[in-house]
Amino acid sequence: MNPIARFMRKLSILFRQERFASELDEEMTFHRTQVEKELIAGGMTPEAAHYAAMRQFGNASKLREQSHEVVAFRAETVVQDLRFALRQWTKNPGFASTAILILALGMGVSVAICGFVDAALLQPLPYANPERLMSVNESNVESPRWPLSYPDYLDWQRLNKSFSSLDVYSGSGYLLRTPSGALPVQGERVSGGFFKTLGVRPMLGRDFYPGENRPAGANVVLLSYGAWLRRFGGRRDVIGQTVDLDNASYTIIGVLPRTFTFAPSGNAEFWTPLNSFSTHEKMRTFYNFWGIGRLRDGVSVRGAAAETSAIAKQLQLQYGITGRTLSASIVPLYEVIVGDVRPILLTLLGGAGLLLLIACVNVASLVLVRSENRRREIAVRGALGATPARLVCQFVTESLLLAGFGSLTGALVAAGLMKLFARLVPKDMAANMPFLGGVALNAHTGAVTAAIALMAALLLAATPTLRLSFQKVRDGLAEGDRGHASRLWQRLGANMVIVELVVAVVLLAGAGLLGRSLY
Amino acid sequence: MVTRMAKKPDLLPGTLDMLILKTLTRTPLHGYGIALSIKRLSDDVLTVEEGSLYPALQRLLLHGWVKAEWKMTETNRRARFYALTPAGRKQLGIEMSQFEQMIAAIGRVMSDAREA
Repeated sequence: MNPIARFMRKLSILFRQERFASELDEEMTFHRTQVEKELIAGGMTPEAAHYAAMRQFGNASKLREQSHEVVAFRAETVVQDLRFALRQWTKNPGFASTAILILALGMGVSVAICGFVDAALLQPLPYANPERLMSVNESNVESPRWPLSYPDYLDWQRLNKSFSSLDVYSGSGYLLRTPSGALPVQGERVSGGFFKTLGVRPMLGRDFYPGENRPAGANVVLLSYGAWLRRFGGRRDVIGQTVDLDNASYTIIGVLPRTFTFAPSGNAEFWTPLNSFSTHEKMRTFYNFWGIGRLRDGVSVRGAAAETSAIAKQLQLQYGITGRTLSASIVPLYEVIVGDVRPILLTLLGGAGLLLLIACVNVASLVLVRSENRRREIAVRGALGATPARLVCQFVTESLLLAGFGSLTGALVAAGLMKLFARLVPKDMAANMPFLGGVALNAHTGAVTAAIALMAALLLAATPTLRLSFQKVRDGLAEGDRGHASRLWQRLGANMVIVELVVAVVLLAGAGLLGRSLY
Repeated sequence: MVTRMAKKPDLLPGTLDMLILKTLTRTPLHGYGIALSIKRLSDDVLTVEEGSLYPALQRLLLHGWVKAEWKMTETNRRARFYALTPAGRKQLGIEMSQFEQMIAAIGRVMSDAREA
C-alpha cells in the first residue's frame, strides 16, 4: 500500500502513544471479559474462568508490545537508548561532564590551531592565480633577498621573458592634512601595473592609467577599504575629491576591495603610483624597490630564476658594479608572506594533535572504568535476554552521544579560541598576516571538527565494546568478581597511562623548546 | 487436530490476515468477534490467539485495509469495531487468489506423490 500514508499513520501513533496504548488495553480487556463470560456460560466458576482467561491471554504487556512493534519505528529503540544514556548521565553527572569537558577542550584547541594552519598554509592568497605570483628581487651570496633599484627594475622588466608583468612597490609614509591637523599615515608607492599583476580591481573608481606612473604623471591615489571607511565615511562621492599628502594635492581615483590585503605593505592606506623619484632613487645602486612578477604560463620558478640571474649578471658587467656578485631571487609570493609562521604553526599543530590524543585517551579510560563498574548491569541484562548486539548498541549509543556533546562543545570552544588567539597577535604583526582574517569556523575547520568527532566517537565506542565479555555472564553476576579478562583489561589501563605519560612528556618538552625559541 | 496458528506463525504466513479480512466481509466486528467467528466457521479447528490477532489488526490498519471505530456492542459495552475498506477488499481478492493457487499447487504435488 501507500508507504507515505503508512509512514504518516506511524507518525501520528508516535505522537499519541498514550492513546494508542489505552485503546489497545481497553480492546484487550474487553476481549478477556468476553472469554470469561463464555467460560462461565460453559459451566466454570467465575474465579476459575478469570484465571483461565488470563492464562489463555498470556502476558498482557508482552501482547501490547507485540502490537506496538507493528506500528513502531525502528528508531524508537535508539530513542530508548538515548533516553537511558541521558538518565545514566544525570545519575552520574561527574562522569559525563568530565568526559565532555576533556573532549571539548582537546577538540577546541586542535580545531582552533587547525583553523590557523588552514588560513595561513592552505587557503590561497586573495589574488588571481596566486600560485603564479613571484616575489622578484636581487640576491647575492651574503643576503639571499633584497630590493631592486629602480633602474635595475626597468631593465629587468624590459629584458626578461619569464614574466608577463613585473612590478615594484616601496613603502612610504605621508602626512595627511586633516581639519584637526596633520596626521602621519602609511602609504605605498607602486608601479602602474601593480594591481593588474596581483589581479585586484578597485571596488570603486578605477585603477591607475598607464601615464600616471611615468615621471611627472598626475598625482592620483587609491584608498584602501579601511581608509575609505574610517577617513572618508565610506561615501561613494570621494572619487574625484582631493586629499593633501605631504603638502601635495592628490586626486582620489578609486577604492580597493575589502578583501584586498598585501601583507608586505602592512596597513598601507594610500596607494600612489611611482612617478616622482628622489636623487637616490634614480641611482642604480640604491636598492629600495621590492618586486613582484606574474610568471608566464609554462615558465617554471627555476627557469625564471635562471633567466633573471643572467640579466642581473649582464647588468652588473654592463654598469661595472663591484663589491658583490649580483644574482636574482625568485620565490613564490606565498612563501614570503607565510614563510615565517609556517614552522611555528606546524609545531603548534603537532602539539595540538598530541593534546587531542591525551584528551581522547583520558576519556577512553574514563569510559573503560565506567564500563567496569557496569559489569553487573551488563550481566543482568544479558541474563534477562538482551542480545550482545543490543548491549553493544546501547554502549555505542552512549559513546556517540558523549562524542556528539563533546564535539559540539568543542566546536564552540574552538570558535571562541580562534577569536581569542587572533586578538592575541599584536596589531603591527597582524598587519603582516592577512590570513588572520580567514581564521574562523568554515568548511575546512568544520570538516576537521567532524573528522575529529568521528575519530573520538569510534574510539569511545570501541573501548567499552571490546571490554564487554558476553560469555562471562555468570562471572559478571557474582559480586566483586575479578576474572582473567579483568586483569587483562587492568593491564591495558596501565598501558594507557604509560602512553599518556609519554605523550605528555613529549608535549611538555616541545612546548618548552618552542617557548625558548619564540622568546 | 487443532492448528495453533499463533504458535507457528511461519507455517502459513499471511493466512491470518486473509482470514481476518474474510470474516469482515459480511459485517464489522470487534477483535473478540473476529476470533470467535474464525473459530466457529472452522469448526473449532482454527484458534486465533490474541498474541497474533492484535498485532495483525494493527498491521491491517497500518496498510489501510481495515478501519477501526469505537461502537457499542449489543450488550452495551464499548468495543473497537473493525470494518473492511475498499483497499482491504481488493487485498482480500489478491490474497485469496494467491492462496488458491498455492493450495492447488500443493494438491497437485500431493496427489502425484500418492500415485508414485
